[in-house]
Amino acid sequence: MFINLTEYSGPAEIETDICIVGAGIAGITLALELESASRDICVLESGSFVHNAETQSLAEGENIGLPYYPLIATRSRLLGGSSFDWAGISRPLDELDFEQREYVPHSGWPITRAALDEHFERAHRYCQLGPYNYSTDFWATSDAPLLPGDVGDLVTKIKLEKPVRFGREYRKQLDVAPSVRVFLSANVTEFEPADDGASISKVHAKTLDGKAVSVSAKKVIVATGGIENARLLLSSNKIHSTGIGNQHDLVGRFFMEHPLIPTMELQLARSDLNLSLYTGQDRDGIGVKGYLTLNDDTLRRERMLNVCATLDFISADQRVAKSLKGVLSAVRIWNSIKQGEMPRDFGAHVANLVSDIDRVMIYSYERAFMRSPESVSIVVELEQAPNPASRVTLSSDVDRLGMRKTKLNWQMGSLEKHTINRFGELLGKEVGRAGIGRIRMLQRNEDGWWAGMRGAWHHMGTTRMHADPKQGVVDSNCRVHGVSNLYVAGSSVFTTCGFANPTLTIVALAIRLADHLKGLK
Amino acid sequence: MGSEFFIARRRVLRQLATTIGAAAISSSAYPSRNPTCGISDTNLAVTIDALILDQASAAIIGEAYLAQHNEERSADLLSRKIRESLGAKTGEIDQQALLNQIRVDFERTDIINLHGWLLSRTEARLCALCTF
Repeated sequence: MFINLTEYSGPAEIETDICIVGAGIAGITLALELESASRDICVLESGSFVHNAETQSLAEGENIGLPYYPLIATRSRLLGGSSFDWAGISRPLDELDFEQREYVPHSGWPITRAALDEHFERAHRYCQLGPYNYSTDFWATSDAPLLPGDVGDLVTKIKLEKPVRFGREYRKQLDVAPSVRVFLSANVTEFEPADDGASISKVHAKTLDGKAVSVSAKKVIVATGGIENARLLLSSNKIHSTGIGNQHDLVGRFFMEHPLIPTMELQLARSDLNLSLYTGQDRDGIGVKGYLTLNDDTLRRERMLNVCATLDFISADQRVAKSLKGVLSAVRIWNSIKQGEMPRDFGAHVANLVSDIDRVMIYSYERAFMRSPESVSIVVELEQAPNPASRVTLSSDVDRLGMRKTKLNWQMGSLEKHTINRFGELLGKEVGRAGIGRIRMLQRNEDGWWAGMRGAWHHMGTTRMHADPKQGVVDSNCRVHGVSNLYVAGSSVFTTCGFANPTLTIVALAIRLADHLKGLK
Repeated sequence: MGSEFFIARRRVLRQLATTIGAAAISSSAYPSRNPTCGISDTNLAVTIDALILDQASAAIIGEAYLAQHNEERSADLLSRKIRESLGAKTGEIDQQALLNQIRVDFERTDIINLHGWLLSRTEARLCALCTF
């Protein structure tokens, strides 16, 4: 059932078995997996069924690192969370992503990919993606073939696409689940630890107008997103001054994004090349797209992070323009929401971006829309290496609830640059050898990065998983080290992030956590 | 360098890329060709003439290569190096042999970066011959 806290007239002290903070993708999955007659579940969601400008303003923060979107634009505080506007792209993390790689500091999950396979398959049902099969044998057809010829170290990997809006899709199920209460407009402001700090005794929440409740739960799960999870733990500092679970100064660190960077262009050598698998197809309502990457042995040999290339039939420079357009659109959304209105047309009202780009390199409009285009823009999607200096901390500014806002310092380093450069060289080698065409690497900026580099709105790693409490915030069951009844769900627990979009892994980990909690006495 | 450089460079690289592919391309799609490059190896010159459709544009690429490898700024030296890579110090060299060598260059990672373009060394040398 749904209860709007602003209209709630029940007891201010609420008792439950499991308190889930956040009704986004992870929170909704957990609630549905855990609901049963023998278990009472209380979900605390900041937003409501639709966007509210005042609630959304709680997601404001500041950015002091690499250029990034306004934080308010990259999160959604309403039922369903970021599924409200996600692209729906899904792929499980690769086996390689879970390995400890000696050339990637801080890599190595305490669990294997194999341990998650069963959960990935169940996650597929929540994401409505059809059969759990990412094999190119399954998806490549004679009409949508793989690249022809011997492409050496290049491999194709598949991503599926279906933007399921969890808030809309599972609203009715949540409403009729007899053991689930979802409190809307319930902004969690603090976790109150027991006196010894070894457990959470209460979860405090209040409306924007100050109506407050406290929830006492046997188990508490934080599922508010990769930035907000860290913020809540850092803000809960009445017993431990540095926050909950932060005895080793790890909460908020290792913030990872998936940089999307237009780094090169492929000049095709053949006009008869069928690239439809790589530009994307619809198969019975599910998008299917092939991405070029390298085999695992090559990635290890070359000491590269995981990486893939997405092909697009617009010029590289138009892709840069589109990336910049995305930044401005995000700002526009933020402005619209602040004024209490929803933006009518996403990205259509863009300033003249051409001045940002070397006019000399802009390709003709006709080439972008030719039936057999001669050049293909390549956007590299990159795994970010775990970096303790890349972090979420608390700002000195406070929001209207009196909570300190978020400060993001997104940082990346030489391993990412090496990966991109080497990927271009190897891609150039293989497409040249196979007679497919020639690669042109785009110029870098003075800071060593490429124009149009942007994040993917994937916030990961800030409460990372590790068996050693000196290297991670949560253990392999997503329980916060040192706090007996506090768990974390979502991409903040990612130890490393691969190049796969995080949602499917988020859902799989939520299902796994639910299974673990169901098995506890 | 002005915009004309980049436009010309893109055109020749598009032509190079399409030429290197296996598909035959109608000559009517391209502007009329220039005369054979001024090199003494006439067999190689004729083969280049057939392979590169716009030698004026190729010369722009070639000049970029020679700027990086000034020690090869000699038509005879370039011709000799191309022949050595093919293992054909004398005799005829046909278009297919050059195409094969270009493929081998990529196989061996004998790749040149010219203003971001990743090209086979052989094709860069062929372009360099067009500067003479």
